Amino acid sequence: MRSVLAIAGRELRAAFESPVAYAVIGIFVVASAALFFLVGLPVGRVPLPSLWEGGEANLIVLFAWLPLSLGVLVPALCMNSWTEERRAGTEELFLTYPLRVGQIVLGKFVAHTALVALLLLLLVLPVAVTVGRLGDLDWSTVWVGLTGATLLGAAYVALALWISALASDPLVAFLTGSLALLALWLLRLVVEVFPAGVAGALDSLTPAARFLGSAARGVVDPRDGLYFLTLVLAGLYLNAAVVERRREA
Amino acid sequence: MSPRTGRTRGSLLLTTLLVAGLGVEANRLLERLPAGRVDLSEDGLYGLSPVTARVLEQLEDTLSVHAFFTAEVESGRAAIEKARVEAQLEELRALAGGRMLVDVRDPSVDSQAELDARTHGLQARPVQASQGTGVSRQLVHRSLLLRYRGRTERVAWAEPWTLEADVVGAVARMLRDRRPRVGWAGESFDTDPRSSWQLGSFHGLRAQLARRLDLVPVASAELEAGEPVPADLDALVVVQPLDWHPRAVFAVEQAIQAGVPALLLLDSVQMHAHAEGQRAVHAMRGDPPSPTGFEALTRAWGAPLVPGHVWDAGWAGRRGVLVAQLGADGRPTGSARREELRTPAVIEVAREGMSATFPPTAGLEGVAFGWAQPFAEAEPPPGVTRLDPIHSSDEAWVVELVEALVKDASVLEARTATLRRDPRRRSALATVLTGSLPSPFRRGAPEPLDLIGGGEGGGVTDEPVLDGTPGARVVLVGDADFVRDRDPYELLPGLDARSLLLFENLLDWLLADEDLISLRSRLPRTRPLRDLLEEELDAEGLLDAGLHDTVAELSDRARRRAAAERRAEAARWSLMGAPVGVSLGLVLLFGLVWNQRERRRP
Repeated sequence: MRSVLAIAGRELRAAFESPVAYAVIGIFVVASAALFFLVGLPVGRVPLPSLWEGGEANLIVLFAWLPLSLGVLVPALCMNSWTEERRAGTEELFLTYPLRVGQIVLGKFVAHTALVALLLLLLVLPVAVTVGRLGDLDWSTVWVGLTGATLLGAAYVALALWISALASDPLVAFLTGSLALLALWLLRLVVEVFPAGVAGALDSLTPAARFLGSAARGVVDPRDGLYFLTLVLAGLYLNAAVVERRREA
Repeated sequence: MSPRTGRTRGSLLLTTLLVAGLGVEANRLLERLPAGRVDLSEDGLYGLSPVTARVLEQLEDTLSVHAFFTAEVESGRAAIEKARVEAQLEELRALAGGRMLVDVRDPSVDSQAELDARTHGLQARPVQASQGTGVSRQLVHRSLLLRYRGRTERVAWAEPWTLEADVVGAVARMLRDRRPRVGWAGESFDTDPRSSWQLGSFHGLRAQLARRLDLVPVASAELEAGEPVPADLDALVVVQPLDWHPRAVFAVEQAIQAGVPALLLLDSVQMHAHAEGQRAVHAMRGDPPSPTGFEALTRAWGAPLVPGHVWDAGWAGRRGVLVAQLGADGRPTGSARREELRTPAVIEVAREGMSATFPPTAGLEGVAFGWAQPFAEAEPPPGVTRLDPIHSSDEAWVVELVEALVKDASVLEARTATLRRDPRRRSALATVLTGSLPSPFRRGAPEPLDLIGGGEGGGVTDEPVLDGTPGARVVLVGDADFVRDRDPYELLPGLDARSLLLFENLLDWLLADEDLISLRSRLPRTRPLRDLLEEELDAEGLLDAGLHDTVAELSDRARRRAAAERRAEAARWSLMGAPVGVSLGLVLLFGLVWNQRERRRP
């Protein structure tokens, strides 16, 4: 565990030393707040109005954007994780340490998940306090939604890290990761055009449906927790498999 | 690419596919797990209600739920809805703890299922599905047949968002010995024969009620002729009685004394369409109120119906008017245009106007009344408890005459400004009376109306009269328009989800079915934002319109209003900027501290 935390600390230090993380966080916070307060969610079966237009004290629009905005943010934060190691030549050094690949992968995952959780907290809490001043906000939905968003972010991190391990450079990692996560988000919007049997299965497979169907409304469903855990384990396993193959090669 | 690299890539691809396959299978298995959802939101709309558990606990035998579902649905949306319905049925089955069996059959492939569904009047409905660039229609079954101890109930179309209320309502009905029998009297509403306007009646409401109870027509003419209200009724609804004969009122009153709970919608304001001058203005207007016939009765019960209607400037609602230009021949030259006015004669009763302690109104968002009559404040007679569960805002007056045809907002504002000179007060728009109601007919029953004999029926008979019997329950509402069929142009409030909910809740309270009330009333609470502009206008004292403002005063008001609007806009931007500023500030601060610390590291 100590090794995992040491690697996580190293990853976090690397993240905060780079101005990219600050820029990404700044853009994410400003864009999410603007979408929540001014734009709303104009896509989907039930378009949602912005906070001012809807006039209701809730954060549903903020949460509804998260599957999409995290789909861009998380690959941006994770793109350097493996590709930069390879570019700087530290990956080989890293892999010669007396550490198991699983520990390295887990360390990177913990660091990036913590970063995403912190970011979500930074975004959601100040907005919630503002909305709470404007109306009678249901704080239970805020806490449950925040927890669900963190699980969603963790699943995205696991997938983005795997893609970063596969990619040859950061840009490819970012574009591939974003496209994959955006495709998952888009799937939910178009799921109804699929044949019925496929539509039902796809709907329950998309992370956005899992998050928006329960946690974003203040509902705790253990099946959603298991779903995100499965996604995280699959991402971490594939990530470890890629790195392990490279070590063997 | 070396053979070794190729093997590695192949192996990675295989691993990825295997993990993805396992993930999909795991997800499929997850869906089969029993749902253990916990709804932590304050509204609690996404979990099963405690009422559901209570109703299902009353099952002493097995409840069979036959689900007629088309398995192969072409529409993705319909498939997702069906999956949600199935998941909810599974949750209900788990909650019933072995007392509920669910059997799903597909009538589109099973002829016996098709026959069973048809026998019980359950039909497939057309559902549209996108297929490539085209659209196809498929007949889809999604209905439920519930059986319990030889009784059956149907849910004609299982919707995920109403399934719990539909199924539990059906179970509650089967747990009773029989469907409730509710008498329906009144509705002597006539449209103006000179007008081409055809106003709706109460068909929508009656159709809704007929789904779950037996509506028994009670003709006022028969009551006037001396017939009593049928004794086997579970409740009586009297809708907009106009100028009823005392004998008919006596019949209703004696039924209440005999223990039949009653809901009386007393609304003596008659509406009809009206055209005016060069412009055909089709707008609802009222005639001076005519008596309902129940005035003496409400006085005796300690809740006198006031002959007038409430003018509520605080909760003024929207009303439509249709305007069309007329040609020289007096005929409209073009199509009519619908305009909207905010008029205090239409009352949008807010949540604060609904009692939170009376089950039928607790949790309701409000309701819209049109030209509602209030019930005067009065000391209830000994043994009678009075509760006023719906009231107007504090900024209301009772006015004598209904609004004459008004199509100009300034006229309405001027009238409000004039009324502001009088003391304002809130009025009871509905009242609930329970206990031993005194009878105004204790000196004798009115003589029946003898149309054939030509008698006026002004005397009294020596029939026995019930007086002050304990346990009477009556709900009086000073409006009937809220449950009337909506006219096509929505000129007046009419039956909508909110008003139907209120009516059904009141009826269920009378039928002593409070469980259904709480289940049906599960609506999300509205959580309105503060109106920043209104706050600024209020601070400037600009909310109250002056009736006799001079030009200079008007100009000053406009200038102050513009300044208030600017301040409200600035407040909005500062509220939006605050969370962003806080977040970015924290990130920058963290970055500075972090980098300082890192620099000091050896």
